[in-house]
Amino acid sequence: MTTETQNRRKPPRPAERILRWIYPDGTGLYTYLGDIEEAFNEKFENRGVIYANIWYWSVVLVSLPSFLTSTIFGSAAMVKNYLKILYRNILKQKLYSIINITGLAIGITCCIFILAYLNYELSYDRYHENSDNIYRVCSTGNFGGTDFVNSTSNPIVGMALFDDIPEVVNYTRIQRTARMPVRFGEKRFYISRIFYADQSFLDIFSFRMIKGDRTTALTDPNTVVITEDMAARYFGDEDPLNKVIEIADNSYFTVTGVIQNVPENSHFLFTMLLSFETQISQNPQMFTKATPNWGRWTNYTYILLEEGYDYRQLDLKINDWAQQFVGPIKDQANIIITFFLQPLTSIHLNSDLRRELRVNGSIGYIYAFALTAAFILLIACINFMNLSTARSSKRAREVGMRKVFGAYKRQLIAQFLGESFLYTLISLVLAMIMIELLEPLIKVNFNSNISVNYTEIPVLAGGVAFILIFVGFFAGSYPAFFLSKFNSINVLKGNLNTGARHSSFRKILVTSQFAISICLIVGTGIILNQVKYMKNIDLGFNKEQLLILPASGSSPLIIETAKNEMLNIPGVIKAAKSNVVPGRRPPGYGVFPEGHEGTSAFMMEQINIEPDFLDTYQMEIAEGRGFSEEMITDTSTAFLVNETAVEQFGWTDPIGKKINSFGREYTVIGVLKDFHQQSLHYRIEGTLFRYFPHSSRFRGLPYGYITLKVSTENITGTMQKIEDKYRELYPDREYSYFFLDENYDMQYAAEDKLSQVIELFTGLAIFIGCLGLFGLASFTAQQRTREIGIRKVLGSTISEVTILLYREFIILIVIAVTIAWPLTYFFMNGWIQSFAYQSMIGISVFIFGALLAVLIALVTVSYQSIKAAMTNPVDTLRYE
Amino acid sequence: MKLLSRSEELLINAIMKLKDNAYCNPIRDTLKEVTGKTWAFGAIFTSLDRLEKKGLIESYLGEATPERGGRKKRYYRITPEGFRELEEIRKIDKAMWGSLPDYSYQK
Repeated sequence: MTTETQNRRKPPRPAERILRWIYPDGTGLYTYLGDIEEAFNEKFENRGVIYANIWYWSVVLVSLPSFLTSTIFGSAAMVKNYLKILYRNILKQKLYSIINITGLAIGITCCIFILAYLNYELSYDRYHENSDNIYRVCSTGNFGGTDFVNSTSNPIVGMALFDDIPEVVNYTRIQRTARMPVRFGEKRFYISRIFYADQSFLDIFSFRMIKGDRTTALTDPNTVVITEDMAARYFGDEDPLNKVIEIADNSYFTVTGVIQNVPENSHFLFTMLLSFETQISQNPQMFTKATPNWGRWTNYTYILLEEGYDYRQLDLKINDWAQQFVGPIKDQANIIITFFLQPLTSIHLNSDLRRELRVNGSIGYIYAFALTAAFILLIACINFMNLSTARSSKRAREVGMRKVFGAYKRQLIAQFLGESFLYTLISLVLAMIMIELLEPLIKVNFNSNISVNYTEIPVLAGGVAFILIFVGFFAGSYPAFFLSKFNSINVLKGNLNTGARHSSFRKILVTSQFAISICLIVGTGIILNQVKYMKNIDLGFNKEQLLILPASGSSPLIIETAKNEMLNIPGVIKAAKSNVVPGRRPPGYGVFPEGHEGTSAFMMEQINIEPDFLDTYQMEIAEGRGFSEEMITDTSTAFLVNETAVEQFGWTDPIGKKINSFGREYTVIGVLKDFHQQSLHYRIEGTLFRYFPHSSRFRGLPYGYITLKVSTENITGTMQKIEDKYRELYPDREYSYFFLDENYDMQYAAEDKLSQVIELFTGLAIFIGCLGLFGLASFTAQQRTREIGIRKVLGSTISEVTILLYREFIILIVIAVTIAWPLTYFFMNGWIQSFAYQSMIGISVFIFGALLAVLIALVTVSYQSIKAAMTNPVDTLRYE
Repeated sequence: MKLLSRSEELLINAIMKLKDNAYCNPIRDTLKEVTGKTWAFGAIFTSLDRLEKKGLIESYLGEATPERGGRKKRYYRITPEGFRELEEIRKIDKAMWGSLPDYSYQK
């Protein structure tokens, strides 16, 4: 026999493994395996390999079910009996069954949705082939003692890293631009998210190129790669390649490629990529290592590291390496610049630096959601355990009989665990049906990207399996071990004392349920409070009735004309131009204020405004005066500053003080009261205000927005007139606008969503908890019917009996409150610290949360308690 | 009095018949030959186990062959106890059948 035929005569391996598991080596049983293999060999000789294999499998599979059931339940025949008893129990106690199953089903539904959401949040930027080896180079600038941690860096850093460090395989730079008008033929729209990008952008990131050559698309100046959406918008069915589009005024770009739309789960979204070469060709010396421009920190730099190289090694040495560049800056301007790396895949959840490309998610919210999901599942499990143990007295006789007839303890455990698994399975099926029904609703209301597709998302399938096993085991374990321990003689004598010993366990469970519910209620209250606080705080300006017309990319004169035309419309009360509007971070510059010459520069934000701006926004002047059209020097050498800036400079008498910016000297003419340029997540920054003349030579700068204060009367008519006027003035431009208050409040979208979701989950958690409580209350009442009957015969009133029943639960709630309060305070205080401006966590929200829990509990318990208290004692005592 | 079941009786008979070659597979073949039915391995394993536990048969390990994946054979032989049981059941059979007047009528 050759070795080959010997090999082929081996029975199928997985099947053999199953048999070896049933008949393990080393026991006397292993000879059986030989018997079967011998028969297999005979079949092989006579009937061929396929027949023999099928035969072997059939031998294994036929024996498996009865082997399994007899191992687990002791005897296969008993399983039928267990199922029958379970079925009868479900029918006999419909209320408990429904409570158990729906409670669990709701819990599982929440869990699966949260799992799907978490999976989506964790999927950010992972679709790139190299996602694990891409890092963003970020920078920290220390200006006058304050750290500015930027997601951006200097344009030469990536290049220099690539040249000096062998492990850096590639680098690319991105620079974003303001919203700009883009024209092709008749079509002219304002397009946002236009990026400048190096050719290597296409090499490092794995966006799919649909048309064009991905190896050369961005090598030449004035080339552009556009997304599918843009291609469809501008070119329809035409081939976009080699067409020329106009971006802003008089800049022309040739379309060299069409790229897939950027998936929503990315930390940056772009619509067009202009070649970085365009910038380099306009200003070459700015982008060489020999003559770097250290005023420029607006590039996002990404590097591709060698596979398997630990980025932390580079992170450790990067600042020593960078001394050659940043050392001189420290010597000259006393600005300490450092660099650090961020893994691409961690940006979405872990990065909240200045100038992020997009509002990122937050790992804290991920934990919050996960915790809530766990809580809800826990509450549902506790229900199950509670009701099962409570009902155990009903099953006690069954257990006793089974024991008398010779049931092993492990058989009983298996029976009750099996029941628990079946309950879980039924709940799971119900949950999946609910998910199918609710999915569209979730997509509309929360996040359209949440997908519950078990086959596509392995985490989800795994999660479902885990829930089934975990809930089945966890929820069933206590009843199983508890019931199987009954002493059969006592049980059959009717001497069952389930109350005393095990009610303490039930009480612990109910207490923890309450504690969780109170945590959730109070937590929700605190979140809502903070959101309300942020939305209602005095921002330092009036954000109502302000309509914003974006106008970036147009010359100052055009914007000025537009503004003046708008002012002629009757409903428009005031109008002003600015470079940013509240809700957006202004650009920042380093300046040298009086008294700090020759030291480190101060990083200040700069807002360009005109005299009417302060009136339009109803901002207040603390000292000095605002800009004036009459004063000719106001447009050349004057600054307004805010109070924070004055404080940072350490000035006591700010008016007339000098500020040196880019080598020019400016005089402070007034101090503005602090206002919240950005959401309350951020501190108010030191800010300078400049007034540019209408005839400014800058293009695009200095003004990008026109703010119109509109009267409340006939607002729709006014808006229509504004639109008509705009279209009349600029027939070839797309009209767009937004209201400042809505836009400003969008900064709180994450908190809004959080509070919405937590509110929903809190509601559900409380509902599930109530289901359990209701079941438990009805059980307790039932247990004590005889006691109640006797009490009533002896003269108790209905209210006394009701209070008696309430008391038990009230004590539990009090304990729960004392546990829940400090816990909630600890967690929520941590959350609220993430805001620069925090609402007070008042005592009232804690009291309210506890009272609400008590109230809900009492209402839930009331029905059963009052019913029990009102029963005629004759009915309950008759059977004695 | 405990009597052997029919399948146990058949098994013991087969073991006796096979003498020194009485391990699972020949037993199974013999049974198939006699009864015309295929016996599941499980049925044979459990029955043999049970008989051994009752002390009616005993087993000993034999040689290993490559067809068996190098596992030893388990041979069975009948114990005096088992033989007595078999005698007993044969006696009863005989008594029962013998007392019937005529069992050849088909109609």
